[in-house]
Parts: sequence; structure tokens; C-alpha cells
Amino acid sequence: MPRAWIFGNDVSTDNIIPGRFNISSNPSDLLPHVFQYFRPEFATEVTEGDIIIGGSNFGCGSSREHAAIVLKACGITLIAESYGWIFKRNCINTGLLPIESANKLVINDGNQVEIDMAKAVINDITEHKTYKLSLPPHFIFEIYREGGLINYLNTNGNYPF
Amino acid sequence: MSTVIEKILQKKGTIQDNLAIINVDKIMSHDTTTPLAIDAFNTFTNKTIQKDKIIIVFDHIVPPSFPEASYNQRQMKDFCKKYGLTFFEGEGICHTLMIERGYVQPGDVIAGGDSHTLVYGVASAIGLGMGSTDIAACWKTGKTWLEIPETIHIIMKGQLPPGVYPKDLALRYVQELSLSGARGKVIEFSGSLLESMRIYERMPIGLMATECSAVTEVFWNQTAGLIPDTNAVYLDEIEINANNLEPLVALPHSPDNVKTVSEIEGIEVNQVFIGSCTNGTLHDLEIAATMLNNRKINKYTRTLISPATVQIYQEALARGYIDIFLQSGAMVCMPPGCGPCIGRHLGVLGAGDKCVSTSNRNYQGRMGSPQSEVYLASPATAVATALDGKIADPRRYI
Repeated sequence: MPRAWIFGNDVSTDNIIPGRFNISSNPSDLLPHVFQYFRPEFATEVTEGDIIIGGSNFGCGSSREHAAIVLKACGITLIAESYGWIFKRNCINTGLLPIESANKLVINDGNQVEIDMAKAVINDITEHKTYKLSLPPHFIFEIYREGGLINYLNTNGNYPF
Repeated sequence: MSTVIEKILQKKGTIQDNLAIINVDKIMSHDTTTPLAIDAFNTFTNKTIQKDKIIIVFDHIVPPSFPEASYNQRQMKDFCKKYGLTFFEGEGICHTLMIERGYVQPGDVIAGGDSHTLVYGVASAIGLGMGSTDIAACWKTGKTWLEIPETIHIIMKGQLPPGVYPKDLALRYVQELSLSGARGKVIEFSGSLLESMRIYERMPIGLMATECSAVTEVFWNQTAGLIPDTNAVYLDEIEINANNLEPLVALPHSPDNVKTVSEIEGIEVNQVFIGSCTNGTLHDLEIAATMLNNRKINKYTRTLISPATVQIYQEALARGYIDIFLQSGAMVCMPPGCGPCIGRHLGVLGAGDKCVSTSNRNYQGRMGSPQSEVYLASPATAVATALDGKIADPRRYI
């Protein structure tokens, strides 16, 4: 069962991966440094399928794509109340879906959680609660489904209109 | 019933529901965002390229201060040569250079691989800061997409009192909005005070919208027809009257941690930096030269002055500013670049260092050691601080 990793407001791209590790964009070079200073246990304890739940303005800061690349490489699902604008685009472009929660999620760190995409909800299994999610619009979902913007343009040749 | 940003998007793109696909006029990227964009571009199966729209500026690590940077820059030049792209090396900081060379015209949309790209709003254009994959997609398609954002309107009125400058106006509204105050939104600027301001003077005001997490910003422009319809919808309206404004400083470690200089005067600093895309124009150098003329800076305060472009440097040289700076004991940093502002080279701060900087960000570790402190201020406050060796009110020196 996926575990919830709870983060607060204004988690920056430098919190996600410190700028000095951004010399390589190879996911395997970046992975050991994910949240290195901000949440040191994360890199070793995160399991594929876990869910990161951020507060508002998650991924604020620089335009560097490494933050999105490294989170995608962790195999996590990403939910936040809101995102930094450039980071949100970078997530979409690298094939990581930036899901937004309709309201503030009151889920404790380490709780067992599962996402039901068909119903657009996240279930807190530990505390038997359900929260509504707001999924991105169709166009963004299409880019995600192709695995990112490059694949989307390789498949479709150009934007829809 | 459109705002200015909506008018520009309607003209430059196609809008369906809330999604705009926009034709971009120029695509700018620099030496730290271009390598990843090249990697992304090389994974396109069809490598058509919008050659005439692309401008690449080497400004972040110029000349290279470590081997990987030099390697990256050679790869970039090979790419520019292969596709016949326009590039500049050591000629200026990308944003100042883009405006100076006429690449930014009112009503244009410019995609940029840099989070401060939104500064093109000072010339009534739309600058969209984005990551490298977005830049690669722009290179291929000449287009990008945008969900139409809501807009905040900031009106600036009155007259700047002596010793108070556009940077103080910028810090004032960043304080008002806070770091997330414009998240996902656009800021439109208007008002009698801004109309009379030259584009270069507006730069700190436009540029620091990034620090409020804005998508972009744009200054109204009557001459270019870039004013909103009378019933355009704004989410919020903020009015700032300059008449009572004082010199301001953003304290560590956040651009919205703003106090008046008089509240914090006397804090000892060991570095002053005047430059960056925020305050490195001829207008800023003129303020510095006027104040430094026939004066000596404090011997214990390392003072760096960096013109934002080579043209600005040459003009400052012709006007005698550079001589005044050197006579005063300041170091003049060339070639122009982002080094000091991003803590990459030329004046990197050590543990315990305190710096007054005219740049845009003072997040922890921005200019070097995480144990250093950066105070953001106007060029005038920076000069007064360099003269006294501690944070000082510029009004005593003008």
C-alpha cells in the first residue's frame, strides 16, 4: 500500500534537489540527492508508488527541470494544493502528472493512501477519509499520457490547434 | 472586455476554452538552460527548427569557471553552427541584451529558458519563463501553450522622493504581495509614475514579479494600443503612491522580508554588488557614479560594479563613470554576466559574509555559502552602504 509523504507550503525546486547537483540531468545521477538537505531520509525510504502530498506553491523557484526529472524517477504520484508555474509545466513535459487537491488535505505523514483516478479521489486508508482531487484538463492529460511533451509532439506533429 | 494580456494572447494565438496556443516571436535561452533543451530537441524524430526566432545568450558562466561549463558551451556553439542560430557570448546579461538589441517589441510574445523572462513586460511584451523541454518544443513548433491566467493590476502614482528609486517601488509591491501573492497569475502595471519612466528604469519593477510567483507581467502602453477594455476583469487592484516611499531593503532570506533602510541602518557588510539584470543599466550606473564622484568606498567593503552589457560598459566608459568607480576603490566586473548574482563566480560569498546587492533574489545560499546573508536594495542604497561599510541611507549622499 502506498505511503503518504507530507510536505508543507512553498517547497522549492532547490529543496527537491539542491542546485549544485544539477550538473547532470541523468535520473540515476540525480536520485541519490532528492530532498538531500530538506528531507534526508526520503531518498532511501521512498518506494515506487508512494504519494507526495504538497501544500501550496509546490516546486516554486528556478526553471531547471531537474526537480521534475528526479521526482518522476522516484516513481511517485504527485499531489499538491497548487504548484509553481514553471515547475508544473516541467512536470507535464517530463511525464509526471501534477494533480491538484480541490481542498486542503489533512493526511498525516506515513499514512497508507490510495488514489482512485476514475473517481478523482484520494483515500486515506489509515484514517478512513476521502478527499476530492481535481485532475488537469484534457490537453495536459494527453501530454502526460504520451509520456511528456517531446513524445506528444513526435506522435502528433504539433499542438492540437 | 479584455485585459492587456488577454488582448496580446488573442492576437498571437488561438484560444479554446481556457487554453491558448500562442505563436512566439522570439525564443531565448542561456548557457545553463540550453544544454538540456538541445538534449530534448535531439529526441524529436522530425528536427525542423524555427531558426530565425532563436537567440542563445552565454551569460551565466562567462567565461567558464569550471571544465564542464566550457564543455557545455562548446557543444552549444556546435549546435548554433549546425543550425545557423544567433548567439551572443560575453556581450551582456540575456534580458538586458534582448531589450537593448531590439528583440523585444510591444505586443510580442517571447519564450525564455529563464525564470526572469517575464521582465519583457517592461517593454509591453509578454515574456514566458519556462524549462528546457518547453524551449525545445518552441524551437520546433514556434509555439507554446498557456492556460489563460487571472490578472492583478498594480497602479503606481505620485513622484519618487529624492533617494528613492524604482527598486524601492519593486521591493514595496513584493512586500505587499508576498512570495506567493501572484502565483499562477499575471500582473499588469499602470499609472502616471510608470508612464513617465524609461524602459530601463522599469526593469527592477517588472523583473521582481518573478519573486511573487507571477506567470508574467506587462506594462500598459497607450501608444501601442495595449490598454485594457473598460470592463476588463481584474482579480485585484493594488495602488502604490510613491510620494511617501522611503529607501527599502529586503532582508535575508526572502525578497518579501522588506524593511525601511532607516529601520536597519548600521548593519556591517563586507560586500556590495551593483549590477545584474535587475539594476545593471546605464541609469543605475549613473546613480552610482553621481554618488561615488570624489568619494572613497570603505576599505573593508569589497565593492563590485558590473555593467549589464558591453554597450552599457562602453557608454559608461565614454561618460567617465568607469573612471569614477575605479577612483573610488570599486572593482568593475567584466565581461557582463550573472556570476555574482547566482553565486557562481566573481564575488562568491563565504560563511558569515553579508552583502548588499542590487540583484533580485536573497534566498539562503543564493550568492554563495548557506551561512551568508544577502540584503537587496537600490543602487543608491548599495553605494551609500559601500561608502559607510554598513547599511546606510542614500539620502545622506545625494
